[in-house]
Amino acid sequence: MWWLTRLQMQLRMLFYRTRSRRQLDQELQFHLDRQTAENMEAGMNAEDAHYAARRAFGSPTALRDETRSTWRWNGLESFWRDVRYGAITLRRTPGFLLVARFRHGALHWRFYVSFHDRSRESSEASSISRSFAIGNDL
Amino acid sequence: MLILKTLSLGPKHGWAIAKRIQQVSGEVLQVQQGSLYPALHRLEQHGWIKAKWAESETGRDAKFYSLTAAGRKQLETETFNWNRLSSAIQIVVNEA
Repeated sequence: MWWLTRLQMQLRMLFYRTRSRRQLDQELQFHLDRQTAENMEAGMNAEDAHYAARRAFGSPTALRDETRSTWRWNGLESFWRDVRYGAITLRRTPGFLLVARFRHGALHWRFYVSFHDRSRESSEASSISRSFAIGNDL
Repeated sequence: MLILKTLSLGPKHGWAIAKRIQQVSGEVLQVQQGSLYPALHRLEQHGWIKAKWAESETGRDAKFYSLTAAGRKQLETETFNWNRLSSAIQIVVNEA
């Protein structure tokens, strides 16, 4: 019933993404409202207060998109850092076998990298396994 | 660094952070307020701050940020580096 787990995972990703987006909008709106209120306390009328707050804030749409992109970009950045680190480790230690397994899901990728020490004959091969998850969001 | 410093004094939501930075800088630093948010989210991803939704002073819910232990250490490092840098520049600039 692997498809059920996969479906659950995809739904969870979707759920968190929607919630995160909603919370971000809430966060930015709170800021705008507080600044507008402060402007009105300073004596501006409602319309001017609103526009002044918006001007001081910057474009909420652009900033919202920029914030959302930090969720995505960070995942990618740390992934490539791990790949580079893995490649350096490989170069330094000959006889290591790189095993990579892909499992592709519509929204979710898992990239498994395990290092096995080929030079050892013992039954317990030393292995370092790391898993990198790239979600397309968060 | 400014965000981390502001939060070292206690948890705040985004608007309070913006106001505090503006106040303390004596209104010298006029930053686009909204640019705080990508920064806050990045800092959170680094693990230097953490966030929690709670009721604000107005009764509405707001996202409060607070410094983590790692964040406190990061602030120390950045403050040290900044002081070193600014003293070096000061010497050069004030050289007769």
